[in-house]
Amino acid sequence: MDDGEMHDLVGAYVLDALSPAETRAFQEHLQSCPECRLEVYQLQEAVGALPLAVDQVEPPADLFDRIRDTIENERPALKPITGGRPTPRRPVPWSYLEIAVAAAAAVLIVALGAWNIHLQSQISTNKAALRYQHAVNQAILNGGRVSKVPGTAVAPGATAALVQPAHPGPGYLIVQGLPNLKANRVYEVWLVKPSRPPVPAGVFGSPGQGLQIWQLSKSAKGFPITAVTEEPGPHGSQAPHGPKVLAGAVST
Amino acid sequence: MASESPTDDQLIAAIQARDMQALEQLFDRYRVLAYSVAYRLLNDAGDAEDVVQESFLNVWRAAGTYRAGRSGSRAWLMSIVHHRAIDKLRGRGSRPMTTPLDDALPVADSSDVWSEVSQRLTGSAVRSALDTLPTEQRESIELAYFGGLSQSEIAGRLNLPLGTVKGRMRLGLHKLRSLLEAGTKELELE
Repeated sequence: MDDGEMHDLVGAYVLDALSPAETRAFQEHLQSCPECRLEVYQLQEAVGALPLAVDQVEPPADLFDRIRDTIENERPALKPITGGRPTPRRPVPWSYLEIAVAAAAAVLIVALGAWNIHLQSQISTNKAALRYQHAVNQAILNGGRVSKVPGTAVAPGATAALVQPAHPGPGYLIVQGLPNLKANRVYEVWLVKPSRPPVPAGVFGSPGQGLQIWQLSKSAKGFPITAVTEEPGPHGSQAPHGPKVLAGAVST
Repeated sequence: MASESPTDDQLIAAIQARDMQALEQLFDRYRVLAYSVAYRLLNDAGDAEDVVQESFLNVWRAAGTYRAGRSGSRAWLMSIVHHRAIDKLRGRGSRPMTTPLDDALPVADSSDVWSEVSQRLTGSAVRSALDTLPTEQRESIELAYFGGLSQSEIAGRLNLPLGTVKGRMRLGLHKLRSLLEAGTKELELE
């Protein structure tokens, strides 16, 4: 996509109407395009007025109490790590044998310092990744758990780490070396308990060459196993059907 | 002498300093607007509550990324709410972070004019401005913002080339901004 085509994405960007891949591409473009940055902020002003056009609805009276309770319970939580809530979807049973194989094959916890140094070496100019990395570092320093999720025979060059912050918020998956996907395919993250259907925890597109960090849709706490499969895009599957590319035990 | 209410920027600065009362004040100021937007997108009270809760938790954790004088505090806060509602609507948990909390991009401050415009806006003024837009531009903006559709989904639904949809959204937002500015100037003259 050339600069002119990128410029045309400004409206869709501020309206949240781009796909994840388009959003990333446009954000990269913004880094080097002051005209687009200015236009983004101008159009955000107009978009910021749109909520006023909506019929006003009163929220429940106790909503702020819930917010305060969450904050009180997570102190001293990590400021940069954002919250998240599970996205319920229909479960389908996961092969118990696969769980056992994944669990047996997994390496439980990476030495945190070594892993950090390794991660740092992979990051070059991706500022978004650096910010996430900072959050991950803080998660680790504040008692977050890191579990290595190795590539399977389908993707032997891939590796990943699942980071679960100490607070009840969502986990992060740090990924590198996954093969690029064909059109209309995505990678989908699953959280697994033995004898239970796998729970979907988000999808992501072709990971590119560098290191990528993805925020999951929910906390990994209480799930002893995580896996990533290839599924139909753009929304993934309701149960894992495609080839498993990453699988490992989660330190909880 | 009556004490003046703190501005949004003052509240956000206090939130950065971990002032829970400031967060509650900001919540009281925007709770109806935030909930209404989430409810309009999701059409589900429980999901809308989740989105508002997550959004204000996000404000608490990321207030330091807000910069006064850009698109305004309301636009900043509502962009967080909208982004989270879209995430829930599309069922994705792994979207890349986008503009709401991104302070990495240097940009010229928005005009003071818009700051004044923003303070004067009312629901009826925004609805009137939307109604003044060419139908095809309004339709694309509403499908994206209130319907939560992506540009590709809009192109598919309206059976239009993607480039046409992109152009309508962009031109429509520029025109909307101009209409809102003009509308508040008319109010000044009345």
